[in-house]
Amino acid sequence: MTHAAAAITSFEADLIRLLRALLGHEPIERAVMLVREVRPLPRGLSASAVWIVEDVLAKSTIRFLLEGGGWRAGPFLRSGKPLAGHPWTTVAEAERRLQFSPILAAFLMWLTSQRPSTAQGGWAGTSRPLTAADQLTFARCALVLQHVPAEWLALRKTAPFAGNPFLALLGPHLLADANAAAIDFNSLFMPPASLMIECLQDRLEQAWHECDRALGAEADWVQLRHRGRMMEDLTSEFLASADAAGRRDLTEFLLKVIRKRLTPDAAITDWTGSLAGTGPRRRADRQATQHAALGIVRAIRTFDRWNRGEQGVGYFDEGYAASQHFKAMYEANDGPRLKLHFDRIERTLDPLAKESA
Amino acid sequence: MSRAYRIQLSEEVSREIVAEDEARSRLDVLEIVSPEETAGLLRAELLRRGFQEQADGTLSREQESSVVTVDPCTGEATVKVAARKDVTVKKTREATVWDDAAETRTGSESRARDALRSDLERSLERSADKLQDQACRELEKLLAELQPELAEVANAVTRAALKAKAARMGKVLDIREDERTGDLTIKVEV
Repeated sequence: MTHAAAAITSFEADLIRLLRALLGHEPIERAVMLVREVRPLPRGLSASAVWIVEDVLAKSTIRFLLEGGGWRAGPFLRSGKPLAGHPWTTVAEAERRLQFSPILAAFLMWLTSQRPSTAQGGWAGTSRPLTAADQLTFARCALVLQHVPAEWLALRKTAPFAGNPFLALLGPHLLADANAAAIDFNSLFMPPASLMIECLQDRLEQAWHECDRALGAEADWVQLRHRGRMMEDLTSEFLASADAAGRRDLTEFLLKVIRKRLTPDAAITDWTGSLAGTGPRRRADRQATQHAALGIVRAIRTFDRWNRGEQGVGYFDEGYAASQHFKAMYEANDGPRLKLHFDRIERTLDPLAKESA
Repeated sequence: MSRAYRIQLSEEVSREIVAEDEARSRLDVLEIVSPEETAGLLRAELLRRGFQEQADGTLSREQESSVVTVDPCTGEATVKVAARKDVTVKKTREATVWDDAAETRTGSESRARDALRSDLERSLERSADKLQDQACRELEKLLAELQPELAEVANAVTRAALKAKAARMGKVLDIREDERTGDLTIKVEV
């Protein structure tokens, strides 16, 4: 069959347009318009439409991964040893294969036919496990759907979005009421998800940098405390999962964010300078807010603890290559100096320190 | 013909108001000996200064309305201040009611009483805010008083840790301490 010449229905054409918009290949306004429309739901998709959807997903995902940092060559850790090359050239073909399940097609059909905010009962979601490629695609859809607030509000607590580890990393600000412990970060450290994280380092750095800057722009004391704590919980859970999986190298984007924020002249006001008024009456509440504001950059303590642990790994010890790899990454990002800057800022919050503000 | 009456309502509320505040800090103790040994030295120094050991392993000292708690394992210090006050607020309010219908009369009276109770609640809130501000000021004062003492504790623990470390390195020949500057010189034969 010549797919290019195959006929598709107008519903299928809308579904493909919606998919392209949700993946960022069409203006957001088109996504907004398409999501708000209601159409009769057909019984299924034609083979031609399925082929086009698969083609769009495959090409768009690869492009997203390459543009997100995947163009950069390693070394990347493979079986505890650094291996030079690109993420996809350093693993077997079976490990790098991206698989999209029918759940995605079912979601797209539902979203094309219904307006989430008015749909009866909302999307039923699925109890079937999502593949890594599915989760990444749902996370990308969420990044666009956030621009249609009413619809996103109706979707954010459904299965593919709530607890989606890719969404927690690519759009942490979208998980306003997230319970960090409910997000399964462990699944990110096995291929092909781990390859995706390797490829997405630049994009993750940008997302978390914006998130940390947004903390600094918050004017409401209670909101800042709430969001700062949530970000700290997310960061801690992600770092703990990376550590347990022996993939500390995949957390480098956080170290780079910290490097951008903890400059020599950084001060607590970089995070709390936009707060309105003098804040809560209780000193304890004010201190808790200031403490929470440093929720993301506080991760430097974990990096520092890891670094100190790695210092004790000898040449003949197991994990020597991985420890050298981590130490090189920590040094390259100026880790020791960042820790000093963080300690200096935190001392200004200490009411009993001589340098306190 | 309906007639207007002025009625006077009076309410009194007595309540115990509680305000509390706290600040957290970390003692600046250097890592000279093992964390367990440092915790032991810190515990000894705090006991010497009147702190009492608690069931959870922390040490605390109570002074009137404040409690200072130090966790010797982490060096984390918490300073809490609590203030209590019995407050009685009495308010009177006048309202005009009409005698033509019983419903109107009871309705006007009920509205006036609700407004009076809201006034009382606002007065109690103002009293609670004042007490909270007072607790905050007390906490700031206490922190200012505690700062030199806890700095001395950290110094004393550091000195003790240095002496313990020196004793393990070899034979201690001489220890000189300058009370004024805080200098400590230890001569060790290794």
